Amino acid sequence: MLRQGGVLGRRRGRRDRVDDTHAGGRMSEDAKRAVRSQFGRQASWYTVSRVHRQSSGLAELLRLASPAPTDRVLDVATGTGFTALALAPRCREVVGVDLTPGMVSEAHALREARGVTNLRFCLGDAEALPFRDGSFDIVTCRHASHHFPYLPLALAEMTRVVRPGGRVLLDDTCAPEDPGLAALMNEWERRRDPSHVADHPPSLLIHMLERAGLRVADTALTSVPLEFGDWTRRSGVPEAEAAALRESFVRASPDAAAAFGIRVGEGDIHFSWDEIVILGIKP
Amino acid sequence: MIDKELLEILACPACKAPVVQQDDRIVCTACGRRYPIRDGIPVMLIEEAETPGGGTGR
Repeated sequence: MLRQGGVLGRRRGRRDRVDDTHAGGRMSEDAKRAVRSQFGRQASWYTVSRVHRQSSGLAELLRLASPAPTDRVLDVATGTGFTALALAPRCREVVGVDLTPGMVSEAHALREARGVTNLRFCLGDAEALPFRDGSFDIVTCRHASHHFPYLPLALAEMTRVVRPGGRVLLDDTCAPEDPGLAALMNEWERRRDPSHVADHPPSLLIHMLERAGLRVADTALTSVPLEFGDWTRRSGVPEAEAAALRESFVRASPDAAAAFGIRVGEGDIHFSWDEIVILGIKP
Repeated sequence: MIDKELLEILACPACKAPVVQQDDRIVCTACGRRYPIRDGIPVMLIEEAETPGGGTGR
């Protein structure tokens, strides 16, 4: 659990930075093309990724979402439908929405293979969701928000389509509160995946949910264990860049090594990102 | 045919008005944008829509 005092204490400084970073507003067409191209290529990789399978963040998301058998759920940026498929047996209906046709096709195929009948998909943009106001009891968004160029707009849309009293679950990797370490994590992520926009510290994410009009009712922090080789292969990093990036992990400062749990082994480099699940309730 | 329950909650991503299905298009009841359906999946992206006056997009 996060202490609210720490969150409130950081509020003013963070707000200025968010607004500056995202001056210009909507996701540019170029940025969206970059996301589609990256994820079209990665779609089949993502369904077999160990990280997405083992992360306990999903268990936390399911616990905080606490779906009822009567609930209708929206999974934003559903990708290959991993979260949506986990939610489907627990509620009445799940809709998965994603920007990338390749991802949705993969999700559709998985649904057919598993004989799931209460899960539907459509193509849509997190920043301009194609749903009527208050249509869902629960809205989830997992491992995706770091790709959104203007997260506040996506959060405003998620808040719009959930009913009053409904729950919004934001679940993503998050950066350390220390600005230098946060910048380093984001630099590494961008070198690994050019469509990466930003991992934010927990305090900023919580602040953004509050600005979207949600009451933050609970949070859970987990850890995503990563192996450098798998992490770079999954996003198709060219060999030379992977080698340079590896060097930068090996030479990380003691502070960074401690923050990210970096362990350089014989075979591979092990490290971890923090993952946060935030429950926001629409008043 | 798009599932009735899904159609009831879909909205135009541009103006958020209700939509109806007309053949292989999902049509906004307010602004008239027409969204394609591909492989049974509604493509509810503003830049993929046909506008009533012809052409696509915003």
